[in-house]
Amino acid sequence: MTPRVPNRAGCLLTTVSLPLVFLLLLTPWDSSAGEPFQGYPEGIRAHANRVVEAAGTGKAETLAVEVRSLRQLMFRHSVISLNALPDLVFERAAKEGWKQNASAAVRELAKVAPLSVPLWAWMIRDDLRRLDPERFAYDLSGMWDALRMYSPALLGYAAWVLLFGSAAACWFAAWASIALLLRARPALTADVSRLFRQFPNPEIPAALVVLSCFAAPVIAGVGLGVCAVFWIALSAGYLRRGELVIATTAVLLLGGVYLCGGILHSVSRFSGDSREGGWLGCEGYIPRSWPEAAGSSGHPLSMARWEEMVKFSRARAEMQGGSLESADRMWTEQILDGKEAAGAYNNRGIVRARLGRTQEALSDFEASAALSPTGGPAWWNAYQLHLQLFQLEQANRIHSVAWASIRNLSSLNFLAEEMTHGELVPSPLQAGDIWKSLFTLRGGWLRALEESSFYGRFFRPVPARWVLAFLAAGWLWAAVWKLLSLKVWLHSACRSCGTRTMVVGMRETTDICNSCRAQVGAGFRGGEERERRILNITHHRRYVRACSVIFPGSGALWAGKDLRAMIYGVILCLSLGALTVSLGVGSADRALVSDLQTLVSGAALAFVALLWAGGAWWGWRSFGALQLRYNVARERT
Amino acid sequence: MQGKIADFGIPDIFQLVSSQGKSGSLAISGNDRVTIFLFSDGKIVDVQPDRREPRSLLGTMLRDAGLLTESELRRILDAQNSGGKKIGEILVEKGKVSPEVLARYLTLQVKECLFDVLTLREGEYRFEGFAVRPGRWSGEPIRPDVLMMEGMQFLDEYPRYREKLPAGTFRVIRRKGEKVDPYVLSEEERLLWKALDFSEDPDRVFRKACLTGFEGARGLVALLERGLVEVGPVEREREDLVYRLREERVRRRRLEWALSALWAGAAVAAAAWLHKALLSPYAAEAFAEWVRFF
Repeated sequence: MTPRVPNRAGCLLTTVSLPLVFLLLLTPWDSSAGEPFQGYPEGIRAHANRVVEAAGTGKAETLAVEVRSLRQLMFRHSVISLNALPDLVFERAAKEGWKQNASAAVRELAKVAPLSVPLWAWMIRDDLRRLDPERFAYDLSGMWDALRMYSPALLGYAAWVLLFGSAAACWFAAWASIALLLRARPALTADVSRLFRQFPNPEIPAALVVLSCFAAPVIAGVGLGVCAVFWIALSAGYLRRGELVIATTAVLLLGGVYLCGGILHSVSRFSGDSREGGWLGCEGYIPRSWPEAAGSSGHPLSMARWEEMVKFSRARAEMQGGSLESADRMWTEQILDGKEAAGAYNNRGIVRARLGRTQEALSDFEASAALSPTGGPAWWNAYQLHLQLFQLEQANRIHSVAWASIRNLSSLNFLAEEMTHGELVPSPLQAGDIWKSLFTLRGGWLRALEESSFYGRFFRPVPARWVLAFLAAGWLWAAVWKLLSLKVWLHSACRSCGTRTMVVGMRETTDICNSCRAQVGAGFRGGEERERRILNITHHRRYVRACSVIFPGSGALWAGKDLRAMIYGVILCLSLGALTVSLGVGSADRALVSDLQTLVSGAALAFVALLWAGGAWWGWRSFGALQLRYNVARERT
Repeated sequence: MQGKIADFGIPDIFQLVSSQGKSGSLAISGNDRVTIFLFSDGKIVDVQPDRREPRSLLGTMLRDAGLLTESELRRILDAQNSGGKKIGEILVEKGKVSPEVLARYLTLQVKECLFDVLTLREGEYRFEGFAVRPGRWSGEPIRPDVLMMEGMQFLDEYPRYREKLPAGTFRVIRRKGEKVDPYVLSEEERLLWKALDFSEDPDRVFRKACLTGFEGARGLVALLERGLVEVGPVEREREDLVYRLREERVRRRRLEWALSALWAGAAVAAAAWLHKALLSPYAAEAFAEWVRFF
């Protein structure tokens, strides 16, 4: 029996990528909607349906035979991957109740759907469940390879990243602004009470004013971003430098959310355009009106990159459909343009080999190998062609390099015993430049900002064109308010005992009162002074503990752990962001997507609960330690 | 054994129990109060003052001495009601008071109660014999004969000392600018001088110094004669201090509760608002827009 070709090339990569596992599990994946194999040649469509039918428990051998035969057919038509297959099989497994035992069938499908990211993600989850590190490393490498190829889901990955980032940023803005307002509240209330000196109990109207500042925008249904900026601007004068860093980060993130809205809007328009076209296997949909789409300034891809992608996709479509002459002409054009030359040479070589122009094909493979000496399947194709032509000496010369190059395509999962029919491996479109192009700033985004759903959701009632100006003004006001607090007498609430004193200058030097610095505990003198101080300490302790429990991490802010609290807030908000983006997918009609996202939302929820409890405990404990340090803890009063 | 105080005086009762080395409880009632002394082998090991006289209760004494806050005392009393342990035991277990300090205040409590019952002219007594085992935290048993000598001294001298101090409530403060060499003062005077930092209320000063009313009055008169302190009438405002503080505490608590309720309402509104923006089905659908690409 021919041994399986070992794949060690991706070891380093997989090791480096380990921390990304969780994130990658969250990433979206391919599957088709409606007609699953639309756009493929008739033979492949029929055979793919047979594979779906063959899958099931106890049918491993039948499935393996069908998969092998489908794969031969795919090589004949230069089809690399049928990404819809795993999703259909999984859906069937879910319907027939053998989902838990679908591992063997799904793994078999990796041979015919090697560019399906969800398939690899599911297998990674399976490896983790089975505690199989060897398979885990291999599957991780496969997923990494699949991610590097262009597929219909690529824009979905981009959308997912943007939505996840936006959701996490919104959570962070909400968390930071509320925690900072609660931190500033005692001093702010004391300052507002100065406006009500004529009242018998000025602290009552002051407390109501501060409360209404918090509640009024919420009740009025103002957007989250606007509320957050308002609260930050209100509390900035009472904050320490570390807390101002948190506030600034929140405002910058809100700006990012607003821009993300524009990108998402233009990306979603692109999605609508391309859905109307045909299906191109792993390489994606073919939009019907690509030149018009490319001309649009709001297009998510830059015009040049878009045209390259379109040309490559068209040539691949011609190649798969069997229009070899036309495909040859298109690849030649692509080569003359100098775009994606390595892939174009390789694919033209395959077309020419099919046309019987073997010498030209060999020169194309050599040209492709020269352009991309370490990667790509050109050496392999040349090796296969030499074998077909009985040029054994030449074949023997490149034997080792051919196998080495094929090993780099780990996701393709080539097995030596199955590569004995002169299979020629086409080059898919590399996704690297497309990613770059997707995130390049362009004017269309800014124009799309006003129409994006994020604007209406997070920034009402500020007019769309003024949102960035509003955010900048909010931040500027916070900065001015902070600078004013260095020169104007304002109240400061002692972080340790809650005593409010009028101070001027840096908060860092005044946010612990002199009594606490001197560690006098409940006070030297008895009587009224002592009683009042004890009362203050008790109320302050109760307030901070309540804040710690309701808004975890805010107790740590009172304890002066600003940057650690920020790191905690970021982790908490990333988990909440993951929960938000996966929550609406659990009920989607795609079984694989739904299954994995239900798992993700459950894991995110558990993580959030854990972080919440941990943050509450940490804030409580940090504040307790602070009070103990300044001798105002109950144990020492 | 039981009878009337008019027939058999309290010193005689204590002497009898002590000389016979009895164990049990001696309940003395009079002036609408009942005080119970516990004896073990003829020595006083504990006392249970009448609950209607809170000044003599251990918790109140420790609170007046500044060793417990009002809220701590309330919590400990709650724990005592639910757990059935004695307050001293709970205090030592929770580490609020060291066993040594507790023993000093228990002795003080016994003395205060004894001096109090010695003033009774009418009333009844009843002794019930049973085995009494003193608690680990309750300090050394007190010999009644020694205590009785102090009691007799109290009966004789207290009115004399009290005459030298203003009638009714008064306040005591250090005379400004006076410097004191602590070695020239007696132990009582030294303790009182130190405790004057704590309060102007003589009762609280005596508690802080862990002295009985008699010892405190004697020390205070001595300090007065040395010209180190001055006594004066309590200003109306100061007299009302405790009341005002209590009122303020209640008012602040009510305000705090009202504000907490309002903030809780605001927090619920904020939570609903955040839910609507980021977690509701409508929001989740918008954030799941990426699925449309597949």
